[in-house]
Amino acid sequence: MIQLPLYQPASAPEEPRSSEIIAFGLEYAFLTCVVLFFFQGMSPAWGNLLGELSINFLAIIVEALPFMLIGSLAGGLIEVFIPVDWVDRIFRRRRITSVFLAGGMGIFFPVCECAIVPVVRRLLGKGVPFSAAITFLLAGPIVNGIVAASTAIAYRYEWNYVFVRLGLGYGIAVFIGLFLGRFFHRGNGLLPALKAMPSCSCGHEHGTDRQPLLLRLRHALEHAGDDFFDVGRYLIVGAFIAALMRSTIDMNTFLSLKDSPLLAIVLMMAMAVLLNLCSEADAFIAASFRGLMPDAAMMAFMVLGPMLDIKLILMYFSVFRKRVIISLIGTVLTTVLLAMLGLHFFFPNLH
Amino acid sequence: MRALQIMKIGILAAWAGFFGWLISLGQQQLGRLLHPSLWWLVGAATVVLLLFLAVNLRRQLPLADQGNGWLKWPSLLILLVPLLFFVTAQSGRFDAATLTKRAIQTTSGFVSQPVNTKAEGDDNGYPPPLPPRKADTDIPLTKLAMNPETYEGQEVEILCKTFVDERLPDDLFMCYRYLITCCAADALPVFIFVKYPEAKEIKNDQWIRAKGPFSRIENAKITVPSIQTEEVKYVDEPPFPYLF
Repeated sequence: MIQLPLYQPASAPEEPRSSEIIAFGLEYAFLTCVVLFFFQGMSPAWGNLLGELSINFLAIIVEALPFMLIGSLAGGLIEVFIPVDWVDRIFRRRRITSVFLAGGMGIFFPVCECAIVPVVRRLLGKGVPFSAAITFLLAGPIVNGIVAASTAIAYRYEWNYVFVRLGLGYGIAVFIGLFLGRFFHRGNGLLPALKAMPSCSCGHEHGTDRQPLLLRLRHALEHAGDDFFDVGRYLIVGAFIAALMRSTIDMNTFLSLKDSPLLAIVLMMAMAVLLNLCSEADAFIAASFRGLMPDAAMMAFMVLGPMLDIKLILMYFSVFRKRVIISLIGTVLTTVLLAMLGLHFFFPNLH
Repeated sequence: MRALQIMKIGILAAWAGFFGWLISLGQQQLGRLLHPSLWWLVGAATVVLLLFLAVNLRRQLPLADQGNGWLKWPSLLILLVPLLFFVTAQSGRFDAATLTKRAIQTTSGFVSQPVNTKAEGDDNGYPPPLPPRKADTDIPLTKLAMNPETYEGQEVEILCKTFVDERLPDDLFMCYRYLITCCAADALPVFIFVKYPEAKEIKNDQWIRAKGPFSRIENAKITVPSIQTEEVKYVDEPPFPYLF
């Protein structure tokens, strides 16, 4: 007879932590603003904006939420079926090599940026080194076949754009993984709930063959469901902000400031962060600027967007400490900017 | 604590029901949000949500959720916000104001948007936005924009939304539709110029049908597709207003 749970951790504290109260306040404020905006939008003066925002918001959610659910499911399966010994053998004993491997994992596990956060959460829980996880987090949504295909189509099969995008995505992700790995590790970089090793403290016995398959599948689904509730709210807040930006920002605002390559790159980077487009669709938006923006600026849009946008930054809060998120944002922005300036200097025309 | 668990089950049920409805009975609404080639995602999400729902129905509240349950309520309610906005998404439309924001304009005028080569097939097996008509005249805007040389001089018929711009000559107006690659958030306008003697009388943001010989206008190295017509008919919005 099967008995669960096998392990019962201490019950949750009665007194709320200050971080929980702050999160409660922010979430409550967001809900209030959104509901007020919704009812304000019913008036004729705001009707068009509300209509456009609603379409953009729902469209982003209907596209992104399924990816996040599939990512959560993958994360749950990783949690239950991947043995810690295996992770230890592949990743933890080869710290530098694992970063280079992680940069190319997207080729075998093509995940978009909405799905990758739940997967990385579980990989970290399994003991994947911090630097390798960061590398996979940044490279996974770029270095994969689906993104390569969409970029090729958007740029009419001019393969230079594809190779440069994937190559820069890989190189930047590996560099940032190695760089941040010098300063952060699991102990000082992850949220306390993820630091516990070698697996979560849920009471299930994971990564072993001792339990029947159906029971293990059930545990995987329970973990995946928990991830949906943990990460989903960040996705929805981010998607709402993205939809608001998409509904209010005029593309021509960016165009009027394109004369300096530096400014053009910075502006396209800003647009990548604000628009929160899926990495499979962003190439089509970037391609609409062909002939109007330098190639390096379009590349900045396509490389930065899958690594860093508003919804991703919010989702990072479900994995990393604030100091890691700030360092990650600073490092990614600086590295992408420098890489794109280099690209513009050495290869101004990619076609 | 029981209320929190019931709330979670309710959220999973609401999303599973919403996605299930979109993929079955609500396809017309889904067509306004997501490219048909990605509809499988909604089906997959429905299955995943039903699995989550099944395990949550038989599950005790996780320890992490015990303790101060009232703190969790806003985070759970946030998960329902998109369903609230679906109410207004149904009546919302991308209009001329959206066009001016999304189409890139230069001093020479609007720049034609690049068109996804996948769009040549246009519908990927999905019911086309236009009802079947004469094959040689009823041409989607995507094809006209992509292969203008193929249709040069031919008579074509278009179905699109009007955009009247004061900067255009008195006998010219624009007609546009949105092309989506993945979802409506990435929609880009595809447009054609219509040369029509009474262009100034055209109402803005109306669906029209127009038929006439196709040609290209060259201006400041930009090629813009155009037709010349003597008659413009106002029509109802098609069931699937986007180009895929």
